[in-house]
Amino acid sequence: MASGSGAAAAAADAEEKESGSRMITLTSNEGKAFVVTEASARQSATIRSMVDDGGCVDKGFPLPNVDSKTLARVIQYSDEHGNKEPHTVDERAALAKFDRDFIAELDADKAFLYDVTMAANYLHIQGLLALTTQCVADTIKGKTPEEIRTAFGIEYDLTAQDEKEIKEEDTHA
Amino acid sequence: MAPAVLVPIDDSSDGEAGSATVVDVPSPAPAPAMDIDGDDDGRDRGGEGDGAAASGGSVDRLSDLSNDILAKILGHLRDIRNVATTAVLSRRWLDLWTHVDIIVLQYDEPPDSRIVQEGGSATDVAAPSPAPMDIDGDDDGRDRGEGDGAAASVLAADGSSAALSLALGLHVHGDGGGADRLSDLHEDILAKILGHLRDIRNVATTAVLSRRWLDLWTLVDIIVLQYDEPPNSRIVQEVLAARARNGSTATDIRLLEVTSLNSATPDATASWLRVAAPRLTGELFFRNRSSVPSEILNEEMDVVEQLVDELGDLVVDESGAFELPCFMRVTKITLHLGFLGLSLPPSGVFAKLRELHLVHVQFNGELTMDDAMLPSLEWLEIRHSSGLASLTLRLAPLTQMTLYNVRRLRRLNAVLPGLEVLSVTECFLEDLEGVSIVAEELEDLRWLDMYQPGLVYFKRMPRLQMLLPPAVYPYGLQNVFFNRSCQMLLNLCPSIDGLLLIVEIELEQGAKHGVRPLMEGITQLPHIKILCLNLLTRGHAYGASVLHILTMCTCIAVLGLRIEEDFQVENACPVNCLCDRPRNWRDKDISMRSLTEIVILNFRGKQHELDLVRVLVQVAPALDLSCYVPMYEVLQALGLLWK
Repeated sequence: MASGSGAAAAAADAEEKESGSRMITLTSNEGKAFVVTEASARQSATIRSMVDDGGCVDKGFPLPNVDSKTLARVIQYSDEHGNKEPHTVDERAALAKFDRDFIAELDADKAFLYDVTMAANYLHIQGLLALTTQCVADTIKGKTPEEIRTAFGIEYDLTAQDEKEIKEEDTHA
Repeated sequence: MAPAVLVPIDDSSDGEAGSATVVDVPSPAPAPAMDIDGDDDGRDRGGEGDGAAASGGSVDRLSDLSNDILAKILGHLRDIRNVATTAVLSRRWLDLWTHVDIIVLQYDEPPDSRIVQEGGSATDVAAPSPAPMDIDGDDDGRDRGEGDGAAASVLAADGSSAALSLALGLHVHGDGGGADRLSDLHEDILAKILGHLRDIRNVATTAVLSRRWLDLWTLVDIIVLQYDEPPNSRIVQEVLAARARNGSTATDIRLLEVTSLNSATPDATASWLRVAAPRLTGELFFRNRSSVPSEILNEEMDVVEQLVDELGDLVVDESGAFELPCFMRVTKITLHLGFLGLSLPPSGVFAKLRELHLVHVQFNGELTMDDAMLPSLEWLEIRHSSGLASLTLRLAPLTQMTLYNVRRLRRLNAVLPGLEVLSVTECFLEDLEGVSIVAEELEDLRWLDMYQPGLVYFKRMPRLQMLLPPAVYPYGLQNVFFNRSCQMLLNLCPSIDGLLLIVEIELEQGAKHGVRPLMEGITQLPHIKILCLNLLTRGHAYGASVLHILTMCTCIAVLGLRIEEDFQVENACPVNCLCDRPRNWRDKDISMRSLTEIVILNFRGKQHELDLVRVLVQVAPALDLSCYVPMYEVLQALGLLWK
């Protein structure tokens, strides 16, 4: 609104563009190095704050909680979302399609989906975390408890006491 | 080891295994019928085998065969589920199936082949020595051939129970050993997943999945819930209470969204709000019956809206009022009350509240909001409400305010030093008594309401850039009053950059008073750079009106024309309609040297529209003819592009 804040935003934009051209090295727990654009890396709030605080960009960032396979997939997402900013309707549609295809592929491999979810959580990539957790939620939606157990291999281990308590709570509500 | 020479025997005894189920076990507890894979020709052999079983009589010679041979036989059952089922035949058979060196497994869900992979890895865990697997129903021939030469591997006995449950399809999934990896995710992530389910009933259902999930749902910080028994909001309280019982204090509610599918009572509403108040940190959203969108009610929204409009004042008396409890930590409150009465608490601080949206609210006379109660409020919106006669505001941090159709508002006294955007629409049309607005930082003023200088006072607004004054009317006698009102507001704002003007073309056909000057009462516009005209044309021509306005602001750089689409009055314009006057508008002689950009929305390409564009192109030499695509097409149609 105010012309002052507009100028500040423009300055911030310019700064972001400049820093976006730097490259950042991310290292998986297997020691494999991945070089990404800063714009891509900034998708992660964890890395973003480390870059902004210390600026130890040259040394790179070791990620002891993420393996190479998972990191590669996470970077695929971050590149798509960090390196291009969608302006037109078509570009936004293309990005939405990328997300759909990306999550469909992960959904077919649940164990890997969980790995990516945990990495997104660890790296604070909110968009990716929302995408993966939504995907799991979609699988839960509209299913009976038995169907959910089957879908995820959850073992039924409630004791008779637990069941009784749940039943009691149910009759209350 | 399974010698290849024994193959002929296994052919006949294959069927015998099936018969033995009946003969040998007197009380075949569950003993499921062994369903040998349909496309396996083993079933034909089974037919032959019946004879062999009969010759065996009641003596179970089959069980006397060596482990290796029996394992081989079992291998031909192919499906590991059938193989494992033989464990219940007798003690002799209990562990036999673990000697089988062929595992055949079918799965039902084509996209999820992981069951198979996991099945494999699970068995790998159970069996230290690698077992060759043929995991496909397609190439049966191959596994038979291979099986002959394959080395039998002995499964560890303690691995058999896990493998048994695997084979029986009890808990087939999970990664390695049937582990459920979803449940291994961190609680925060699981709570996030559950949050996506939104409806708290679905979320709470997951409690029965397993012990791990028992209390997980109480960690979800989003509660979305609908209830349909108006006097009884207990379900809301139950949910909140269950959460309080199970959850730790660390998990505050980030969003509480409640929808009452029938008209809520004030008491019931107040009671759950009181329970929620201390636990909520983020956003409170409540929607009462008549404010509920049709897709939720499965009814015609029109009907509901209409009822609200017509009965709004009546409903009030029956529904009564409640007092909003103090939400000390909430940042956003949205209440669609369906004309429930509302009052603010006499004391208390909504310390964190930044946004307050009140829709369909019945107020009781006067309302005062000040910094003492709302020290952080940045955005205030009141829509479609009634009963509010006097509104007093003393809110320093407020930057944005909207009053829309707050019916029969009489007085507004606002001191809002931080206000940037103010929008007031149809509040004072009936009972305007006095408005005083002190907002010296105001940048954007939208005042689609009564403006009379004696009754409406604005303190100087030096930063004002954009103005939307009340609509102007090009034609008609009585509308001159509104034009003058608009002109007076325009005079108040001499230094704005942009003007958004609504032009209503309303003709009194056959009026006796003759032709009056166009847009009488509008005499002067501020020195603006951007002009946007919102044209409510009702099918009439608008060229004369647009050009008339342009003569008063020839220095603009950008012109926007938005023709409101109204297809019902396609041909409302009679021959010799007034809207085409003055007739010589097409010869308008003005000079707009600064005009570089024109944007037209909903251009229909009628003759009078093309005429207007032709005039604009002629009077504006600086116009960039190629910058705007729809414009480009219009110009091309006119043959004006490369003139």
